[in-house]
Amino acid sequence: MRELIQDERTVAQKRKIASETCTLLLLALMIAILVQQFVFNVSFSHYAAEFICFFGACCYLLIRNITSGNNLYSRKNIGIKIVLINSLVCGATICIITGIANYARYGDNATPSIWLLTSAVTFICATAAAFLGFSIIHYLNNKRQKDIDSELDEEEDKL
Amino acid sequence: MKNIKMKIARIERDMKQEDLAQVVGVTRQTIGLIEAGKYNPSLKLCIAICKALGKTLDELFWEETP
Repeated sequence: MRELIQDERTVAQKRKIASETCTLLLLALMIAILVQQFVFNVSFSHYAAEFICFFGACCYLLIRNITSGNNLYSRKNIGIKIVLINSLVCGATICIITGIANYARYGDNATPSIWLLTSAVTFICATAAAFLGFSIIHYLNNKRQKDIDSELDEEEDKL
Repeated sequence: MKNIKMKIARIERDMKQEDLAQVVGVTRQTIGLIEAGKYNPSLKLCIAICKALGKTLDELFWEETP
């Protein structure tokens, strides 16, 4: 058989397998970080490598997608609403995880009012930090999409 | 190689890239890249574009060899 073109099916399948492997690896890294941080209660230096790999890979995924022009938000003009929802969900998740960890560690010593206050402060701080992060991503994504739109407008007007 | 035939067919239908992208279900960038000859669409996408523009695959995507 002549080898003139690449077999598209096998190429696509290999890419899918590589993508799945990457997803599984990221998931495993995240679980490793959470387990070491909250279950084994070890210092940051013990899981620094996993932490750097996980957030480095996440940053790479974001930057590559934005620079390639892939819209991170499937719907256009979705605005700041999705940023707010993402931030609240992120804040709530962090609050629940740290809340459970704190209860497991200091549950016997802390009164319910202190525990609730700590959870509230954690939720506010986590939501604010997430809002800042998601806002930057939203801004960069929108800016790139506008640049692409203007490039396409120019090309469309050429004919 | 630029796909001028697809661009002309789209303009004949009085459609913008955004309109065609919405009908076909892809991003405007994909339509722009196909017209600019920078992206090779799958057969499924080619058929969807042909249906949206009321043309055949030959009319839009067949390249006559010189």
